[in-house]
Amino acid sequence: MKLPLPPQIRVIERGWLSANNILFHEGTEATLVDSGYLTHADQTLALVERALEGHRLVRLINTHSHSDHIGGNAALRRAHGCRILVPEGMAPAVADWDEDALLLSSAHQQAEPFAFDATIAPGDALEMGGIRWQALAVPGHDMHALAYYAPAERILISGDALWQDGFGVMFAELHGDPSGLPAQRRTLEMLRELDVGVVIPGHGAPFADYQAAVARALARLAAFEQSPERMAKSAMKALFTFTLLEKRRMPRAGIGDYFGRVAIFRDVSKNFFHQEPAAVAALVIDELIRAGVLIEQDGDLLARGH
Amino acid sequence: MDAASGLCVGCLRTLDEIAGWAAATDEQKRHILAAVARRRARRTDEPMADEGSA
Repeated sequence: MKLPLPPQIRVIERGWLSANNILFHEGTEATLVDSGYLTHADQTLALVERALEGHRLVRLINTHSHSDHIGGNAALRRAHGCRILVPEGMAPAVADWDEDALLLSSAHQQAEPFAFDATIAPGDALEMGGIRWQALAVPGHDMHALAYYAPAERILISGDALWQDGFGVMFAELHGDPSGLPAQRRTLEMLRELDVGVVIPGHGAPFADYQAAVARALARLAAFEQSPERMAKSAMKALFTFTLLEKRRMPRAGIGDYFGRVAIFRDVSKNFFHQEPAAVAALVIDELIRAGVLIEQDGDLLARGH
Repeated sequence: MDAASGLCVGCLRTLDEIAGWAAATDEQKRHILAAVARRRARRTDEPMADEGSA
């Protein structure tokens, strides 16, 4: 169903490897929110070029620092000379290009370093597409993430803090920081009080059933709070699916070793499953194949669809 | 994107199909997915393109 968004907002709905891109026409200029994954950068440039419809891209704004949201930043800046604004909490990691803090090295993901021109703090007001937006702190999936909320138009750009069915992986918890789940709870309880007509999420189609989505997210969070193992298994499945979308295909026989080599898979196997990485890999692969997310072809694993 | 076919090597959609996805009706999305299934079936015997750009 097509939702009633103002005509100056163009949502470029991507898949899971790349986050959605949201383009705002502003007179002869334009602003973009989030830029997709590095290996999609050429596709992102082409999609943005088309959606610009002759407008000049002058600003790129990120919701948070993860690789599927910042991977096109450098390429877009090269192509358009746009200014880049990032949430203030992620600025030090980007400035120092700290691949651990950006979760690149620990998850075996890629991004290209980029320069930014300014930062956005929680509570800041900004204008995009002639609409007034408030930057809201939405820690949890990413402890420094921002959402952008337009109270008059009742639109929420939620990033990965809230999807139609769930929210992004709890990275802080997976890395041994117990503040992730409580932060996500505070975030969802704050979001629940907002008056929202349409959500533009970081992944998936824009949606309207706001309170139902918040309720689903809170139910999932409660399940994670009761069972860290469940949270960890859900995260391993999501992260390995992302890995396969990025690598395209991997020999099934090598996945056990891969889980032993890549920090997040190795550490979560040890700290949440109390098992060898190879055993966790086997469990994750079995469940993803049974769910129809992965298929095996000539000894290789592939992600189905996009 | 695959330069020869004009398709995304991951999801086998054209740039037009990706660009229009968010605004497409369910009917249009079903059409695109049916075309993707045909393209995937045609390609199963071919080696997958392996360049980084998906």
